[in-house]
Amino acid sequence: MRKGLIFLFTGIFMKKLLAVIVLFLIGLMPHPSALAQGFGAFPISQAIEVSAGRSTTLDFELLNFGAEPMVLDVTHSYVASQLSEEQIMRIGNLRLRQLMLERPKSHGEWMTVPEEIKIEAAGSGGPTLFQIPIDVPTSASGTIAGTIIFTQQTDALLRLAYRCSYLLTVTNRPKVREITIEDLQIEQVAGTTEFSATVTNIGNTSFELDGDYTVFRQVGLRKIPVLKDSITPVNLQPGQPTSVYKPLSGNLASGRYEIRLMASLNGTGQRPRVAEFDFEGPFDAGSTIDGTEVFAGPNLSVASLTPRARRNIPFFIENPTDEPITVSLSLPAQTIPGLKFQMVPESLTISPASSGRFRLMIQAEADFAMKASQTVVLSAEISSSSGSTARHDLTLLLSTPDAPPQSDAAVESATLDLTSGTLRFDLRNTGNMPLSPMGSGLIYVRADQPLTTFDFRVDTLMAPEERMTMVIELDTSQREDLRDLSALSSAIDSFLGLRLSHPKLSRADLISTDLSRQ
Amino acid sequence: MNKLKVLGALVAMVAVPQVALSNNLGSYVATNSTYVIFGTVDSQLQSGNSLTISYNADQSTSTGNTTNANNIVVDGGGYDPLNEDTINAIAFVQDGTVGIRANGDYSLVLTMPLAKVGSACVPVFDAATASASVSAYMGITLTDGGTTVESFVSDDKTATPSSGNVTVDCSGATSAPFIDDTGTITFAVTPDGTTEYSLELDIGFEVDGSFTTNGSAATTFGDNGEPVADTYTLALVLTASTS
Repeated sequence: MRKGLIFLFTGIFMKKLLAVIVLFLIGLMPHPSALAQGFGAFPISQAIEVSAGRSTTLDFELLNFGAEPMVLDVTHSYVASQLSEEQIMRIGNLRLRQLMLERPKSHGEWMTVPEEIKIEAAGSGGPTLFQIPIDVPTSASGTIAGTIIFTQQTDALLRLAYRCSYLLTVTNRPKVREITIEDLQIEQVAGTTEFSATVTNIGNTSFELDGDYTVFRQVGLRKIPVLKDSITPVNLQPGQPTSVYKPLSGNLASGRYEIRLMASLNGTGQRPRVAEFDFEGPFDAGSTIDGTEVFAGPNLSVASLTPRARRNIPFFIENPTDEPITVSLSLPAQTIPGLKFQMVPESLTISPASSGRFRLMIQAEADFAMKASQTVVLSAEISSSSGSTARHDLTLLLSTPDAPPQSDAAVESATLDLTSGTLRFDLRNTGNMPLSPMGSGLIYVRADQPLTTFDFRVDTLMAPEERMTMVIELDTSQREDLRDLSALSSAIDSFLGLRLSHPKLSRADLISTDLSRQ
Repeated sequence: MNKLKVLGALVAMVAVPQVALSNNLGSYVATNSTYVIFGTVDSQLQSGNSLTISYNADQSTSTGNTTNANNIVVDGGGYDPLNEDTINAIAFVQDGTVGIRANGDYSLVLTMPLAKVGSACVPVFDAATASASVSAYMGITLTDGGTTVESFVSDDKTATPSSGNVTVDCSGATSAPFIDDTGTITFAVTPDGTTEYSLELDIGFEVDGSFTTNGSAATTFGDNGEPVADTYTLALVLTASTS
C-alpha cells in the first residue's frame, strides 16, 4: 500500500513534472509566427457612406506576424477641399460666413487619427481592431477620399508600410460635379504624339470623366478639322489633379492648331474647352508647293469588299498656301477582276487656305472573287497657278471576308555592334496591310536581366512582306552601357525583345529573337 | 525511461514548424475584398540602415578601381565582408526577401534615396555630408517561385526597369545635391487570382560610384570616384497599396 502510494505519488508528480517541462519547452520555442516580422493591414481599400451630421468610424484590422509587439506610425494623407464650406457661404449671411471661415477647411479635420498604434504579437488574440472616429459636420456633402498609411517603427534597413485608401460618401446632400482643365495640348512624348490635359475635380464627389476632342489645323483665318478622337474614361476624386493623355489616332504636320475638348462628367456634357498651340512634328506629312506643305489624307484607308458591295472612300486635300491649287487623284493602276473604280470628282481646284474632298467609289460586281487582300496606291497630282507641282501617294487596302485586314510583324536577324553600341534588326511586315511600325524594345542579357530599353518610330509605310532594316543608336551618353554591352560577348542567351504599338497593329505581344553580337 | 522517450517525441513535434514557416505569410484569407499581406522580412533586411565607409590607408594615395585596391573598410548595416562578390561593388544585402500574398491587382512602392543622373534615377546611399552620396547596386526582383515577374536593376549610373509596369520617380531631385530622399520605384502587379510572390533585394555599393552635387558625374575622391569616408544611410520603405 505504502509502495502503491509512493508509485501513485511518483506517477502524479511525474505527470506534473512532465507537463511543466513540456510547457516550459513550448514556452521557450519560438511561436511559429515569431520568425516572421511582417504585418498585415486590412482592408487595403474601403468605401463607407454616412449622413451629414452623423458620426461613424473607419475600421481596420492590424495583424502582427512577429513575436514582439509592434508599433506603427499612422499617417493620414488627403487632398484638402473647401467646397463644403463654400456652399454654406453662398446661402449664409455675413455672420454665418465669418463663422464658417473659422470652420475646418478640410475633411481631415473631421477625423481623429492618432500618430501611432501598438499591435500585439502574433498569437495574442488575433488582429488588433483599429478605429478612426469620423464626425461628419452638417455642412458636409459629396464624396471625399484619402489614405491611411501604416508604417513600421524600426531602424531596420527595410520598413513595411500599407497605404489603405478610403472613400467616404455623405449620402443626404447634393453632389456637385465640376472640373477645371489645364495644360490642354498635343505634344511629342518619347516619339509618340499624344493628347494630354490636367483635369482637376473641383466638385464634391467622384465621377467618371469621358469625352471627345477635335483638332483643327489653322490655315490663315480658317480652322480645318483634321482629327477627332475620344479620351479614355477615368475616375476623378475630389480635389485630385489627374493627367489625361492618349496617343493620337493620326499624324499631324507641323503648324498652328486648335484643340476643342468636349468633356462629359458621368454622361453629362460640359461646355467645350479650347486651347491653341503650335505643333512641331517629327515628320513631313504631305508634299510641298513652293515650300508650303499640302496635307493629304488619310495616308492609309481600308475597304472590306464582298460581291455587289459598294464603297465610298473619302480623301481630303488641304491647301495652306496663298494661291489656288489644282488636284487630280489617279485611279489605281491595277486591274482587279470584278471591281470598278471611279473618282469623284476627277479633278478639283482648291482655294487658298481651304480644303477639298474626293471620293473613290468602288463597285464590286457579282462575280467579284478576290482571294487575298490587295494594296493599291492612288497618286494625288498637285499643281499651283504659279506652275509648281507636287505629288502625294495615298494607300488603300482592299480586303475580303476571306482575307480580313491583319497587321503583324516579325523581327529577323538582330545584331548588336558592341563597339559602337548600335543595334540593327530587320523588321518584316508579315501581315496583309501596310504598317508604319513604332514601339519600344528591350535588350536582355538573360531572360531575367534586362540591359537597356529604347523607342523607335518609322513614318514610312511598309508594304506586306516588305523588310526594313532598323538601326538604333543606343544612348552613348551613358557610356557605362558600353562596358556592359561588352559583357554580352560572353553571354550565351542574350536576346532582343520588341513590343510594337502601331495603332493599326493587331499584334501587341512581345516579339523575341536571339541577339547575335559583333 | 518510456516517459523520456515520449518527452523527446513531443520536443520533436513542436520543433518542426520552425523550419516549415520560415516564410510565414499568416493564414488571412479575405473573401470579399482585395488584400495584400507582407510576410517574413529576411534577417538581412532587418539590420541597420546605415554603414560607415573608411579607408585603412591614406585615401588620396591608395585608392584604385577594385575593392582591394581601394582599401575600403565598412562598418555597420548588413555588410558581410565575406560577400565581396565583384571587384567593383561591395555587397550590403544579398538575396534579402519579403514574402507577399495578394488576391488582386496591387502596387508595391519602394521609397528610398534616388539621385538624378542625366535622365536616370539611380539608387544611392546618402551620406551625412550634404554633397556626397555613393551609387547603390540595386537588384530588385519580384518572383513567382523561380520565375521573374518584374525587376529593376541599377548600377553605377544606369537604371533599367523590366517593363512599363516598373516606374521610377526622382522628381524631387531638381536641385543640389540632386538626391530625392523620398524617390520611388513602383511595381504595378497584376496577378492572376491569389498569388504568393517573393520580392528579392540585392544591394551593394559601387566603390567608384560617388556623386558630386552636379547630379551627373562621379566625383574624383581618391583616384576615380571612390566614396568619401563618411556614414551613409539607405532607408527603404516598402508600401503596398491598390490603385
